[in-house]
Amino acid sequence: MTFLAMAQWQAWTLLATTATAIVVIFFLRIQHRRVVISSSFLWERVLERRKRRSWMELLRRLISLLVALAIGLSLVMVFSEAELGRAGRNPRDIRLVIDIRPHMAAQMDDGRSRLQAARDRAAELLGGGSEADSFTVYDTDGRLIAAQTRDRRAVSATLVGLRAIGSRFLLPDQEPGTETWVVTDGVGMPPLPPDYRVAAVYEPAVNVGVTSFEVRPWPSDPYRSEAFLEVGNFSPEAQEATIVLRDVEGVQFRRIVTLQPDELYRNTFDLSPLQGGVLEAEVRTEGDAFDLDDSAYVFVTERRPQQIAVVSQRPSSLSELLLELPNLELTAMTPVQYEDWTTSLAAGVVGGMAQTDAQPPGFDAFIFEGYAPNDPPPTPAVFFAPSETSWLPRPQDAVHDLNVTKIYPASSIMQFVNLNDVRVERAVSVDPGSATTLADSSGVPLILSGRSQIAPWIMITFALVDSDFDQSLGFPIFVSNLLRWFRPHLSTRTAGLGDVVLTAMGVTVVNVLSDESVAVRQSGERSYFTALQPGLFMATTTEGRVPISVGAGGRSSSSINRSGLDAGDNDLEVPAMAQRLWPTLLVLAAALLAIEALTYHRRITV
Amino acid sequence: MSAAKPEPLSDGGLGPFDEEFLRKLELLSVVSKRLLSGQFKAERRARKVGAGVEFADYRGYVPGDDFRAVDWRAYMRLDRLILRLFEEETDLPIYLFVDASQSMGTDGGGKLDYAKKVAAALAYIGLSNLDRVNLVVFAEGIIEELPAQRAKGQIFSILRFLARVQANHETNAGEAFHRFFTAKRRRGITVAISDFFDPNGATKAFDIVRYRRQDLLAVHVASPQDMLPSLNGEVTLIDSETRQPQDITVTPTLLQAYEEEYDRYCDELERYCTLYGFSYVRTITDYPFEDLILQVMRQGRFLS
Repeated sequence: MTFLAMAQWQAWTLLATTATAIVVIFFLRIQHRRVVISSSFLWERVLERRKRRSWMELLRRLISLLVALAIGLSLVMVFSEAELGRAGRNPRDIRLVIDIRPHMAAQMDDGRSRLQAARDRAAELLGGGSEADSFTVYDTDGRLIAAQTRDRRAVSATLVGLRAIGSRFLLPDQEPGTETWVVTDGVGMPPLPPDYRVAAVYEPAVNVGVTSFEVRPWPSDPYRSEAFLEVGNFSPEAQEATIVLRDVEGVQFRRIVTLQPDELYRNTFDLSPLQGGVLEAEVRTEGDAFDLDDSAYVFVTERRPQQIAVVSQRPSSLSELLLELPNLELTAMTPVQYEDWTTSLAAGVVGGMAQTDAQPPGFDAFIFEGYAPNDPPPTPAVFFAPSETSWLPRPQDAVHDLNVTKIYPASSIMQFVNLNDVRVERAVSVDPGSATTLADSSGVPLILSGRSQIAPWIMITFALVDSDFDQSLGFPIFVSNLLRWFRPHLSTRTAGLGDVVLTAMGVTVVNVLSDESVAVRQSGERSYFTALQPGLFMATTTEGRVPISVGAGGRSSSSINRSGLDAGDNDLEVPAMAQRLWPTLLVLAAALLAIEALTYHRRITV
Repeated sequence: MSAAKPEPLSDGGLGPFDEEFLRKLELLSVVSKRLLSGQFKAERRARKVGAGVEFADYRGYVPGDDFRAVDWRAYMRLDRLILRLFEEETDLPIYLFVDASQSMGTDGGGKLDYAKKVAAALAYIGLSNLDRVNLVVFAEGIIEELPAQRAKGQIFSILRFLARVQANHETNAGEAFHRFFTAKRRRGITVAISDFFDPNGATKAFDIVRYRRQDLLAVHVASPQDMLPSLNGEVTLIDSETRQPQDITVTPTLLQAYEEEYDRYCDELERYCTLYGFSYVRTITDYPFEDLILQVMRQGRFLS
């Protein structure tokens, strides 16, 4: 409690007590006999002369003066919040930097995590020094946790929210007159500025963890992939570890290995027999103190040629281009055949079509030329000069002789696509509505993107035959972007713990392991979500889905014993808390006031 | 000239001046006659040099002087005109100042009554000697003033005047004396009868008398309570004039200190009077006033 920050009941109690004391003191006065005399001026002279001459009176005056001085001094010290042991020292400006890198989650012998120990150590620092000291708290990710304040309780409250999810080791700049404490386990800690002090929370601990787990294609066969697993022993002593790989169908690999200190176990696993989906690597070790690196997850995508259907009345130059591309199986169908296919799909009879768990059954994508179905297709689709339908921007008037005047490269579809030399003889103007324009000609949309209730779509408002688009330099890049857009989750993103940034708006994120939605924050044109534990997340944007594998951070995080500190450094000499004097001084001042009032009325003092 | 016997008093308007008092007055008058040095009307020898009969001094003649005063015998011997000077005999103005402040009324008004008696006695003696007697009642200023009385038969006017006087107001003798002597007054003798409890300082009033070149007789009237208060323990003293309270704890030591202070104050007044050739008489209300009058007369100044 700081002075003048009393609760309301405390203030009222103090007021009532003081008033009662004053009333009691008042009535304790001796009642004097009243005598009328001729004149009091001789008595006044007598009293004045006695005051001047009497040693006792001098002593009384001196005592009274000292009492008055003591009262004044006490009150001054109360309001200046004087403290015992602080005389001559200025209030300190203390900065606490709490290490929140993942290895701070390692358990210590007493069951606390290093981060918890760091919080406790910070609390010790907060509990020492002077009441007038101010504190500022940062984490090693460079964030300001608590702005400069003297309210230690508030600072302590902010420490509770710290999580070991940082990825950097940033320190605030040196500032004259400040005292900076870095509360850390010292793992991978760079040299500190000379006047920075370390509050150590390090203890050697056992840790065997996954330092790398990724899926990569075989160089010789793009339709096959393998998983690369690296497990390291970062303990001071050799450890026996059990390594397990499991997918949705159960354990696929299990091995017990003995690893010497700093020894790495590396292995690759052929993923061809696996169906795809989530693949987990787990390592178990007796007495392991660091859980975050004990598991790692990847998303295994089925490696097969991309299945694309082109729906048009007659083959076009686009079909000819697609046929020449590798890793692509093209199916040409007329609108009638498409209608039959959709009917069969509705009946659940789909033969010869590729199906995966991660994709709607059937084709990976559709390309419609001069046609649009009544219902949106179940997969991403591209429409060239589509016929009128209810779920696409409605065609209006025909426009002629257009040039592409503006491209919106923020979309992955239009990245690196040069359409400056494209000439469109005939297009259809549309009202974009909720769709996003990717390219236009003086306000007339030429390329739009949108999303139906089922899947995203791209709409080109002109037919290839009505333009020289397929002859331009940008066309192959455009097609390449389209193919990547059709199956965006072929590449899995990896990220560390903490805030995961997505360069897209309107993102939804699901934790694949728990099948729970994750809160997403927007900032500018970016989206963020926070991953507190390693896991696999699926982010869905307007352009598709992106699996994100969140890990502990690799060897730098798993090397929990790579510290320049030792256990002996944990002994921190925290300055003792200066004894707050204001309550004592306040009581003293009140007591002296009471004594002074009492003695005054009894004429003991002047 | 024989003194007129005071008429018996039949009315009750004379306050403390009863038959006994009047008999004492007559006695004082007789005693005073023996002490007087002359039988003339207005027998005080004033310092004024003029048309008297008693030689005073010589001085050289200057044009305009009365030729009747030229000492021709001296002219014959010295061959120059010498003027004989005579003391002019005039009546003596007596200014009786009676303090009627509230402090004089404490202890049952004993001090005021005593002061009235002293004033009446001195007035009677003055009138008996055919002097001009002015009576002034003062407190924080002049409360009331009786114009100059000369005939002995005016004593009853004075007694009635004094009988009406009541103690009231605060004391500021300096202001009262200043106001009185602002008007042109003949040089005479000023009698101040008071307890001299004047917070502004009684000597300020004496200073005014001194500046006006008047003679002064200070009659300091004290009550036993003034000199030796019967106080003890926790007491709130109330000033009778200002009503200001003063909390004190009266101890024998403090009481002794007060007595010493009172004596010191009286000594200050007496020293002042002695320094400037004034008379100072201190009395207490228990002391017979007639004895005081005789003491005053023996001092010679009042009756000289």
